[in-house]
Amino acid sequence: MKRTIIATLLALLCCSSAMAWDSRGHSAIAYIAEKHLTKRAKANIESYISGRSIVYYASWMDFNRTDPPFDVTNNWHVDYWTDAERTDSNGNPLPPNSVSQIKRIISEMDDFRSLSDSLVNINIKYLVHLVGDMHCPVHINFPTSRPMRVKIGKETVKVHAMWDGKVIDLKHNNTSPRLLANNLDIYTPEQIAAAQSGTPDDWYVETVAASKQAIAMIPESKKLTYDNYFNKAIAIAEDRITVAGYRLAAILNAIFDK
Amino acid sequence: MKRFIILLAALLIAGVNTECFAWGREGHATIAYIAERHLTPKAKENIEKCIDGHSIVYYASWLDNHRAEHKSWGKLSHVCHYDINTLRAIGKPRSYMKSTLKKLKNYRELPDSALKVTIYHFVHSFGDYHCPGHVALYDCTGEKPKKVHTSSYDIYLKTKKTVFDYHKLWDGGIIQQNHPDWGYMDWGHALDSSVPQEYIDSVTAGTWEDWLHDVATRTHKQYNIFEGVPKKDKGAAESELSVVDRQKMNEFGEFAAEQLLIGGLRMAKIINEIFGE
Amino acid sequence: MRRFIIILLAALSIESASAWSRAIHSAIAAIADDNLTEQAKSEISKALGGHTITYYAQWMYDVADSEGYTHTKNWRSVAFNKSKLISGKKIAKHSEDIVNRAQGLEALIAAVKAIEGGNLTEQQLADNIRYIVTIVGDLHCPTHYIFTDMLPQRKAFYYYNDKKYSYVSYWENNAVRGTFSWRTDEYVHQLSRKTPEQVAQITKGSITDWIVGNVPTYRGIYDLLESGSRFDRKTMRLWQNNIYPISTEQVAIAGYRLAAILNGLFDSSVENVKIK
Repeated sequence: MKRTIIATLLALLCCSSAMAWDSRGHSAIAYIAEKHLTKRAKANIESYISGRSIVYYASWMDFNRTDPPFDVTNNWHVDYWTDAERTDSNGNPLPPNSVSQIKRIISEMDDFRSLSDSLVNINIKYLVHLVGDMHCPVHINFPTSRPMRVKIGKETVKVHAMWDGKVIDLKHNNTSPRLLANNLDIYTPEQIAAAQSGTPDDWYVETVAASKQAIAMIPESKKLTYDNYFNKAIAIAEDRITVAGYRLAAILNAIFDK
Repeated sequence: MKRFIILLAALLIAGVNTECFAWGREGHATIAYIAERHLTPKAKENIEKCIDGHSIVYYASWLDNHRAEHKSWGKLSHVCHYDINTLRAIGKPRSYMKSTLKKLKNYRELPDSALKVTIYHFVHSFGDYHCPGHVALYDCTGEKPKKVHTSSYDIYLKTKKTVFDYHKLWDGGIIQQNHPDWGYMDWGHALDSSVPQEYIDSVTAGTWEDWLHDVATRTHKQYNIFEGVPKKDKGAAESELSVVDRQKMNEFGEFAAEQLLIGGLRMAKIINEIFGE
Repeated sequence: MRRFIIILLAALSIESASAWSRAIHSAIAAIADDNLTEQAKSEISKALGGHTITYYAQWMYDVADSEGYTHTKNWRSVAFNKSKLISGKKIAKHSEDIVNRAQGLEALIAAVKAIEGGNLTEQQLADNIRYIVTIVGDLHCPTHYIFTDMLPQRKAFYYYNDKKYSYVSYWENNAVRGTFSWRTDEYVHQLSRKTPEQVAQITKGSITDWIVGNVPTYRGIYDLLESGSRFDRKTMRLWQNNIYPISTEQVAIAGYRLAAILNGLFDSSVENVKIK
């Protein structure tokens, strides 16, 4: 079993580029958020997206990042350490990142009824995705984690790709995002309120800590097993996905429950 | 883009092992599941009684699984033929759907085993007929109808030297590429959360022949899935193959998703009418 | 690209060293979860830190390499001398390694007894629940029944498009999934729909009765394949049509039985399932 999982994992790892959470992670975040939307917010949101669920658009940004007119969003998916250089090697400022985009959209959507339907529609797609991305540990310390490699069995894999999906897949490989959301959405009302308090900037600081932990946990040998890494890593990834869902709900409720 | 192409490659490889057919299992199950979500309690109870208490979703791909067991369960029930000028269904597939619906309507008179098989046929082929890849266009101006278009072409995707069977993209590939982790319940939920009643009314208005006309029209005119995909023999030179880029694929993906929803809503309408009493 | 394809192919064809695939374990747990009484569900949720049994469906495999749990690798199967259950004591002395390791039923009984006995630490209670969840699943996988007179049959194989595959591995990975690509919660939608009479029939008798009762069907699977058979796409499909009704039913049965055990242990108004 384990061999199968690891081989499959390795196979799948070879094909990931910088995608943040894969479809399962993003969809689960949207499901959790949906469960915590108010009735009015849910109805308002779905009236802008043809009666579909926000889950349908959880990964939409990933599918549309390379072609015009959305290629401008290609760099919105990642973030940087607060204390890291935010310029590229030529000294040019790096493009806007997920946290600043989230803040911009929240403020733009304050009076969503005054915006065009298509702008509200696209902003929903952006929020649903970016709140997920900003909670993915390897999307925060992007420049640090991107070049890192580890070993699983005999194969060398990218830390970034591993966190985007495979950490979750190891435990939940046949779990639909719907069930994954149900399995993870077990926080008490107090814990949910705590997760939802604060601002995107506070959440960013928190994800930086999770990021540091995800990297620091890698043993010196760089050889990862369930016992020395994955059992702990799965718990971190599940927590990130869960709180991202609660926070997405908080953001959407604040915008649409009126 | 790279991930996308490789995913497709993965699908293609997976296809070798899992036997891809129209819509793939996920697509067929999704249509049946969306239908089930829109059944009246009475209709649901009645139709499930006829199929040993199973869900109609259980049998969504029965015809693909069992097609080799009977010589008449082959192509007829899977691909629909249309006159390219009128885009109305023609020939044997049309007669097949007509007789299947007729049998269903008289279900009380059918022996149990024949009724079961009729339901298995309906829940599958009705889905197939909503798959853009299962539209075959015929020129009917001559003495005998002549096939003009089907969707079985080799295509080639930009930036990688990878050749795909265009038909397979519609047979499951297109909906699975973006969400390999989604099952039919995820698709059903995502597409059918709070679809407005006016939308349901508009897509389920008319007769089943109008619906097929709509499938052919959308496939041929609105999305023109045949455009830019000239027919090539298997193994044609790369330079002769057509290119479908990501943007086009997103558009096709949206078309496919909508067909799943519409197919499910229409299937529900038929089952409610027949089994709802 | 080529490397990717090779690895993927390798992944698809690699022989699983164990059990039902993770998908089936999750399915069984989810069906059981769907059939727990409110009280049992809430007690179990408390014991598992708020999680469901589905979340821990294959936990015993996840921890199999962790300190203190490596012995659980011997808890995945059960052994029979022809059709007669081999007792725990005899299993330990048996000359065949595969039989020595077939301590699944003993472990299941021990876990049930431990919970019945009470006085467990939180950790022990959670572990014993999770053992039961994984083991009941494994003990409804036909290839986890080691029949001493049929050991050669376990080596049965077939060719699909001229590539060789193991029959045991087919059962563990594809007997259900070769036909249905359901996700975990979809198994519940499809299979958790037995009538009360059917459930009563499935859960009649003791845990030992269930395991022994499975024997005729589980021995029978070796009659479904003539080793060395060659399949193409069409004949493979026809062959699988004889298998999926049997395999799918085992998933449902295991789910209902797991629920019966847990309801007995955690709902004071439900009678415990007897061990013998």
